[in-house]
Amino acid sequence: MPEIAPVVTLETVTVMYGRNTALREVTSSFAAGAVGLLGPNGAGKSTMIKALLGFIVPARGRMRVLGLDVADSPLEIRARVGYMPESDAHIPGMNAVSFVAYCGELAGLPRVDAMQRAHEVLFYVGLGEARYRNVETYSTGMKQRIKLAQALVHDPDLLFLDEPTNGMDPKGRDEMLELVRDLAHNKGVNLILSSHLLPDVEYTCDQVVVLDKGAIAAAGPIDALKQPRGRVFELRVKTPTGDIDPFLLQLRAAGLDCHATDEDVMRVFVPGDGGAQHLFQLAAAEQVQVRHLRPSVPTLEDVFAQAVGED
Amino acid sequence: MTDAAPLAPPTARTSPPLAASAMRIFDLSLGQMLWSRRSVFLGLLLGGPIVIAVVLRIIDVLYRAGFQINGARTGGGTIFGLIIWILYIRFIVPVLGVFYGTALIADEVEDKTITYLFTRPISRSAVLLGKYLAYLVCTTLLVLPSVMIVFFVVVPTGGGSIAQAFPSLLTDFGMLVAGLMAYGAVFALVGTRLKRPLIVGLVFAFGWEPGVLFFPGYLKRATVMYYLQALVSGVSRGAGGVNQSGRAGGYHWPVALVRCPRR
Amino acid sequence: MPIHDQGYRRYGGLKAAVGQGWMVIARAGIRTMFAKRAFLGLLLVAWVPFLIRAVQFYAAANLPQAQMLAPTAETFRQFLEQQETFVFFVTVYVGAGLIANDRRANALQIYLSKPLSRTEYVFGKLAILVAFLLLVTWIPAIVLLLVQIAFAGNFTFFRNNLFLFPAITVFSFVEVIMVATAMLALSSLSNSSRYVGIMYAAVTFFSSAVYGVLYLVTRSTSLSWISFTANLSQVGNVIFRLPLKYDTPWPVSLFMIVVIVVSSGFILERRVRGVEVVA
Repeated sequence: MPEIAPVVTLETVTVMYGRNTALREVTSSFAAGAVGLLGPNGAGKSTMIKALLGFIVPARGRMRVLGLDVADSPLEIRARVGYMPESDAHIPGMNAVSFVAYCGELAGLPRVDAMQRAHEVLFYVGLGEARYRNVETYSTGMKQRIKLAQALVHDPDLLFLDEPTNGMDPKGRDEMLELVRDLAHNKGVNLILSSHLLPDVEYTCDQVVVLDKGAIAAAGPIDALKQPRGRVFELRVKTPTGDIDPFLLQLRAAGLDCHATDEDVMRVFVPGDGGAQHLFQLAAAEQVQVRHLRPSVPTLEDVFAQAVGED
Repeated sequence: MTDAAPLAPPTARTSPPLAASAMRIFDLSLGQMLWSRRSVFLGLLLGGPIVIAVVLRIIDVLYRAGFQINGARTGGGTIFGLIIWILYIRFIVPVLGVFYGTALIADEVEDKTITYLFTRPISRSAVLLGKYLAYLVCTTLLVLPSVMIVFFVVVPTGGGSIAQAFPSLLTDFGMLVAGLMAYGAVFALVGTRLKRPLIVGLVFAFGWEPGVLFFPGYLKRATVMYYLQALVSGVSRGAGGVNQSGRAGGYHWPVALVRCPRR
Repeated sequence: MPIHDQGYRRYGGLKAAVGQGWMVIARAGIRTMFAKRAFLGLLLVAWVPFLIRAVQFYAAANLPQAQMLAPTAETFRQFLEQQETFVFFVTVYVGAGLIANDRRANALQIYLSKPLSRTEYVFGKLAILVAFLLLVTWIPAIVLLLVQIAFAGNFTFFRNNLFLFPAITVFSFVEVIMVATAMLALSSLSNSSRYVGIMYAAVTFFSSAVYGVLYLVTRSTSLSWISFTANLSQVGNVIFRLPLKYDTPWPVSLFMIVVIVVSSGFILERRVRGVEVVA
């Protein structure tokens, strides 16, 4: 089976804001399908998307989107992509259907087709009943949906979604993720979903690119990244002094990666085949009691934590 | 189950008095107004009279010919009065009034920040009073340095005396503050009552105010300018070429808005 | 699997070629303005001088007693000069929010994520303002010329003043381009249309006020290049072959107009961007 060409490639791309480097020599590619662009706030995710759209000109490097060079063919690229920005954005003074149809026309759709598709897309994103309301009166969740609708109206080949679930209530968030998943897996739309929320990316995407401090920290299919190159354990300990930090330092010095979770257990990644035996030895050496030790399944959170570390 | 101790009654909190609330709003608004880009723009605008003053002074120093208005030799005090009347009273003060006055409440509504004010134990009158006072102080602080510099640069031209003209500076300054108070109040009303106060504000400031002065009868009494004119000492403006009908030696201000003085 | 999926469908129709987005912006903007009753009222008032002039032309052509009302080339110049008041108000009403409102609503990133260049965006916005300004300058003046021919029942006046058509056209476009680019540039400087309108009024009137003071003191009109309106007036008189109003050489006035247009273009180039970078 021939390999499908990536939809986006970046070659040693550096983006500067004045003296600050937002993207540092980034070389990566985004495969067709749904790719998550994961990273903490300020990692450079939005900057990368804006550079791919041609809003920001990189100081160095080349970028290609859908086989077209961003520097040479920005308009041709934008005709084939949809962009859902992170911040609130709308055309002032319009109701939802006029706004989405207007966006369709701007993307080159004939007026009649733009209007028809505006109605369809608004129903698809769940705004069918509110489509004649002025966008300025929409709630935060509705504004997220209308942003998705305007990005979809011209039927793009590639969607850039920047934090699409920001500010949404749990039900709305689930519905938004369902839409994104449906677009990627059932409608054949390629998408790049930028988020700092691991569950969103894990639920909707097949591949992930982890960005940290303007550089690629990890990239690949989520399943492959989650494949253990060692073992993951849930661990709870008690130290003689009550201070857990010396033990954590000892673990890290021994090459074990550990990070806290929401509960009172930590997750420890033990590379290679050492497994539990190794953990017990280290605990014994530090006179630390192991109160709980359970093998676990690697999650995207482990991949993320390993890639960007814990600050 | 043991008997729980009765809950202590909540401490009675009274809302702060009007003056204290207004002062809080005043502090907050003054900082916002003074250090905004809008004030920088208006600061540039207020630099205009200073540039004119400097140019006139240079001309005076270089040529020592003095200046004439309507054929009569004119001293620096009269030219200063002319600048105060034409540039400050008739132009800068209404612009400052429209600029800040219409924004006093409208900005809070547009930015959706009025909720923060109205969910505090502060009365609406305190909000309005605090903001109005902040407007007055901000605009006065913007105008004062400009007027002072113009005074010290222009008055000595043509052999004018700063000491002699100083009382008229105080009078003029009082008139400017009165103008700022009146225009600020009018445009605050316009900005609060109307959804789109801009056109109404501009029509009032640059259409109605100068235009109505043309008409005889009582109509001109519906302008701020009419009452400001009443504060002007007739001697200085008369000699300076600006009489009570707003004419400056054949040059009429409203006409200048569309048509400039011709040769 | 459902027989017919009512959800999202791929689009199989034709798409317009890149480069026509400005027309979409212009069309939508014009439609939006025409939907505002207050603006329609302003447009109607702006055509009142046209009606008065039409009555004047009718009287001059049909009533021997009204021969003194017969139009000359200067009548058309005066008409356009009278329309300057409406040009001001239409510019403020239509132009102040053109970019400022988009900036407030973060709409620029929506626009520029479509196949639309920054130039096209600016051109589309400019087209809205230019269209309405021509509606209160060039169109009534040209219609007035046609009305004169119709009421006179001959082409004598038109033939004797053949330069009038190009003069009306050139002056209207010079005026409209200067005013529209200046307003658009100011609109790109703020997120509030209210401040933009006030800034425009301030800059326009202030330049005239400064010139007014200098004129009163120096009694010379050679400094008229300071005033925007005076520059336009000076160039207008050259175009209409009328005596000049000011001592400023008309090429200087024309140069000032060009400076305003170029500076506005520079500001727009700097301010109309998909992202605002605060370094």
